[in-house]
Amino acid sequence: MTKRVILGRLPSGNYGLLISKPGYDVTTNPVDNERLLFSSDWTETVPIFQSGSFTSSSSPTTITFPTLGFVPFVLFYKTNGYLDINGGGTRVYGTSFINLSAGFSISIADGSFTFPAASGHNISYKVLLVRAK
Amino acid sequence: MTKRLILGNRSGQYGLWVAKNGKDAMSSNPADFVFQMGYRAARPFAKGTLSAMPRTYFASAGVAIGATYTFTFNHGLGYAPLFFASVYPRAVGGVGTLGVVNAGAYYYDTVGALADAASLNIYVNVKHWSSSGGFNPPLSLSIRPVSWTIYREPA
Repeated sequence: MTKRVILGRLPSGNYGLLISKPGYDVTTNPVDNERLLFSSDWTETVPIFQSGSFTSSSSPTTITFPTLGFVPFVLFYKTNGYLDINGGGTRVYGTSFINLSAGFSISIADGSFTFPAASGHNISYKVLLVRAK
Repeated sequence: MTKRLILGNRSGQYGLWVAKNGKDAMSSNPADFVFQMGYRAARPFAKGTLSAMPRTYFASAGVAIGATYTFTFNHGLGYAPLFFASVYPRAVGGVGTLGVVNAGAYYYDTVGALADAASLNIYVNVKHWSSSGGFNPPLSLSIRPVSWTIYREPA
């Protein structure tokens, strides 16, 4: 069985807590941070409860997730978008925040959120284990 | 007394579960936990703040007044990462009032922030409107801090 948790002396010689993703031996030295779920050396982490993506349509899109007992923060990114810069004369493409001032109104509840009717937006979302309300 | 920490076997799964004060580590409600194995913790890859930037900053950067200046951080992660970016006093995507110097209103328009597999770009447009028209911010004009954080997590 793969060793996934170390609490105490780490392979590096320091003391702390390491938890690896399934299939990765946490005693590997040096440890690959990309294959860890948690390290006590990490600070300012963002706890992600659920993530996913969808393409919006002409009807509102509702995504569900297990209830948390509170309304969580949810991050939304548009992955097929562009920004108009220089007064709209130049477009740059990439992944950006959903710009709520552009007319999007996303309702978020404990267990679901609803994206408005707006066709053709590729949306990536992260439900955080952080209370918004 | 509730069991707040399990390190080892929890209903056939091995790992670590730390419950909130007063909650049981055997709970099936994810909201009851400070930490549990099933959820990722996206950690920062890089962060930074660009402090007040006077007009001379833009001039030295070769940016025409009124044009959009692009702050670029090359992360090289190979994917568009989760990020936060803001320009005081407004988050990306709005117009923030910078203040009034003598007559006329001076402001900047934060166009937005955008990431790709190689870099994070924050776009800021500096403007000055006067009754005579045109853009001409004074040397005392400063953009408030631009701050950003990139996480090791695809957006």
